Amino acid sequence: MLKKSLLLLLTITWLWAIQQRWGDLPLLARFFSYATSPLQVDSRFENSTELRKTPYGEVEVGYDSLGVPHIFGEEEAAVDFATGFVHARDRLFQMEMIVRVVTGRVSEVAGPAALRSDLFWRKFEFDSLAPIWYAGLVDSMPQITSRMEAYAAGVNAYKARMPYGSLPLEYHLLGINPMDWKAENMFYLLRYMSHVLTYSEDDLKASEIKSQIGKPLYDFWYPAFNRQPHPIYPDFSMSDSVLAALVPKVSEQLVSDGPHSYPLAYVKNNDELSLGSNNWAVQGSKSATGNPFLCNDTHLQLAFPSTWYEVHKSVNGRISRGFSIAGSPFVITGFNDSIAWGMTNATWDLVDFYQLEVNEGGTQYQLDGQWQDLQAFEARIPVKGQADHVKTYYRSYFGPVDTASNRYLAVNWIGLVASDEARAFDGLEKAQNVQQAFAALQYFRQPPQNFILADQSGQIGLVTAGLACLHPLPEKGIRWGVTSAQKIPFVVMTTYLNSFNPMREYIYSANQEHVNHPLSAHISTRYEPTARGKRITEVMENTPAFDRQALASLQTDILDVEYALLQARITAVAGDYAGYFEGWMGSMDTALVAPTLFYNFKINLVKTVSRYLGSGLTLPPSEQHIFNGMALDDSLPMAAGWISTTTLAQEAWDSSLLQLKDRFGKDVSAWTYGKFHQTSIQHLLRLPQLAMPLFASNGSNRTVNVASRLPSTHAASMRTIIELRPEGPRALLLLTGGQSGRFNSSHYSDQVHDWLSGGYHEANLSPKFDANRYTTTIRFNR
Amino acid sequence: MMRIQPNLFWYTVSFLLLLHVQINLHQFAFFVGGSMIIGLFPIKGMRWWKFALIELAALAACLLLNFPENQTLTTIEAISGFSGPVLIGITAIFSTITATLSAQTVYEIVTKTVFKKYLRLT
Repeated sequence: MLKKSLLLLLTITWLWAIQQRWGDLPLLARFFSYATSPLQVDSRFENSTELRKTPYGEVEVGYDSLGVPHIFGEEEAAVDFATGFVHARDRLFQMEMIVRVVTGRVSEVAGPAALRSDLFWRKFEFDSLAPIWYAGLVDSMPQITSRMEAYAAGVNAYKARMPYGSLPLEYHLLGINPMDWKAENMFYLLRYMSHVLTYSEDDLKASEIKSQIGKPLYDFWYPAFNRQPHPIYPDFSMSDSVLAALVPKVSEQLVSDGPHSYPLAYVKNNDELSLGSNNWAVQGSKSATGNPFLCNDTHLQLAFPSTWYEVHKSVNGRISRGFSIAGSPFVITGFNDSIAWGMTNATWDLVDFYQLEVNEGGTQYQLDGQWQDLQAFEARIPVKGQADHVKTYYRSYFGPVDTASNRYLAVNWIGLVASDEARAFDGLEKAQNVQQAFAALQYFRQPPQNFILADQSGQIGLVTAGLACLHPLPEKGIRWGVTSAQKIPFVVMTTYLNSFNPMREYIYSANQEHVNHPLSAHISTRYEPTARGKRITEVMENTPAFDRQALASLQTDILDVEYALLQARITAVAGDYAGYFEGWMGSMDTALVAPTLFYNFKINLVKTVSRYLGSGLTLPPSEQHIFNGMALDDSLPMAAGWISTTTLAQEAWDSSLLQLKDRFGKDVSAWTYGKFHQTSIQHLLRLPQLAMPLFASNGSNRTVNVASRLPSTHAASMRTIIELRPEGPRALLLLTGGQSGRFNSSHYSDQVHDWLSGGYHEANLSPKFDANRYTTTIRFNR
Repeated sequence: MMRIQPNLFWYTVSFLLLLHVQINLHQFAFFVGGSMIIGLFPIKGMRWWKFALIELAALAACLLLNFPENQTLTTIEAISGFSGPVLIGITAIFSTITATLSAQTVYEIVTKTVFKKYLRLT
């Protein structure tokens, strides 16, 4: 009896122990039992021909040699079903993580390291809002939601009969199973992208900096206007009366009551502002073939897997081809038989913080002279390996409220606005000309984008679509939220910011300011630098007729035009090193030394200015503003008075040299840019074993071929060159990284080399399914 | 009266059951459940090490049928810090202990006790 009791006890103890979390170890029962072991992860499934059932019509899918799926079906819902299926097959973990991030459920699987992210997202209550938004869309646009339903069914169909070996390794490492996919998850994807492209807490930092350095210095160093604008719409005009009608007539007041700090604020510093998507279109009269071209390269974080997923869909012969994002059935940037479209981020200020006047108990706040209840709600966040974390937030008229630095701060972010971008992308996929595409973009709300358009008939256009927040007081900082009118509404700008078939025969955008007009300051107080825009303009003006080669050259251009701005300053301080700059025009080439000297000098210039303004300045002035000041002024105002720009340049140069000597030794010939400027492509979970080691890369944060940060983690995440021919489109495409999110897939990183060398692949546009062209096929039958 | 099958029959069934569970039913609960079912089989003179041998044989067959891909091994090696053979060894030990304990406990407490009247197991 004793023996049996001991055996039972031992068995129960063992089974219990191996199902507990022990520190950072994976779940032992799962990781080390062969039945559930990651040892079973394999890539053989990737090359297997499959036959699947679908509740929708017949579809045939063929994967080509780059892992791009070509999906052919008679019915749209059937093709959407297959799109969901292939997205899940190649990007299941990425899709799940986006949902987990936006719903604040990452700590549950990743532990306390993700708690900060969850705490940020939980206050927005997107998991409650998304089903409501989706229900609204079901009523208003059932034809769109039926596409989203079919897509979700495809994801779940894959998940339901997924070969165990194809369960991504990340699930094994985290010890979780894939979640069920819901149609409304697309809203999470959009909020995730809105966060990447629009969210910042610069207002908090601006408020802090004003209290540190004083208002006069702040006004000089953080202006609402760029001193040397190079706008996207150079011919823009708007009458004073229209502008007056657009900007709310409200007395905005910024909080300025003494020192305070927000150490955890998520700030878009200079590095993050060095994002750089580009798009342009040239008319047939400016192309070597007589046909219009459209080009796009979007700048995002380089990652395995990439944000983008290339897809070719054919619904009853009507194609849509280009780059989708796993989680959505639509082609986001690409082309159909008749038109092409692409996008860059509008970089508008779409986050406002309102300080509330709250009563002593913290239960009510002032609104229009009356006390309103602060509706408290608790977010209970499960944390792997720890007890649940509980945090109290509040709901208010101005948005969700959190407490920071002993203040009640409500946040109004564009992500909280209900919107149906699906309708815009559905319209783009079906548009036959630029006018129809423009009509579709009227439904686009967030994140605001500069959409470039071109059609088969030879038209080109640029439309900045989405919502803007036009502040009467164009200045960053925390605003008082006391009257309901102080909450600035979001307004649609699509009607005002657009241009079609311009006289100059080309049109482009590169994240810079849209207009040289007072409107600009009301939309955003911090656009991205104009260097890329200037370079694109220069090449456009100097190239009489573009062909594919010339367009590819421009997409991979590595000339930093900021050198021209700072050349005189550098020559004056370079001394013995001046020889390295002789004949150099700003080419950020890995084989040269001059780019290293130049880039590190710029970094030190920003540091020097920041140091003179005050220690611990966590949001330095924009690099563009500093460099303009260095080029145009003799002296600049600092905390201790005016300092000559010659002194600033010399100090920056000296400290730059010291750093380079420390890092690379005294032999200057060894300071090549390839050693200084390297790129890394990280894995979604930041696992170095699944990432790509550092490698030398051309370009800088100011070149058209952008590679920003040191080491560079952000660059062109895809490239397209699309020609709209009368007989149909043809296109060169490139995805940075690879199609598959599975580490052991042959398509995990197979396009990195092309990306580095400026290569592309020709888009296969076969009108019919041809099994001989594909390495793998999947057929869906009812 | 239950017809008693020869031990070799039950060994074979046990082997196939564990093989099936580990290749096709990828849940820990199924693995434990399958091991417990093995403990219910009326095998004469059963000892814990025989359960262990059956599980090891099933594991060996699993690996022969579906040997880990080299890239899978090297990647998990890099992440976990264990070499491929060590990783496979740990997996074998974990799986064998789990299967043996589950099967032996059921065998001792349920099979030998409940069926003692009907089956001459020892």
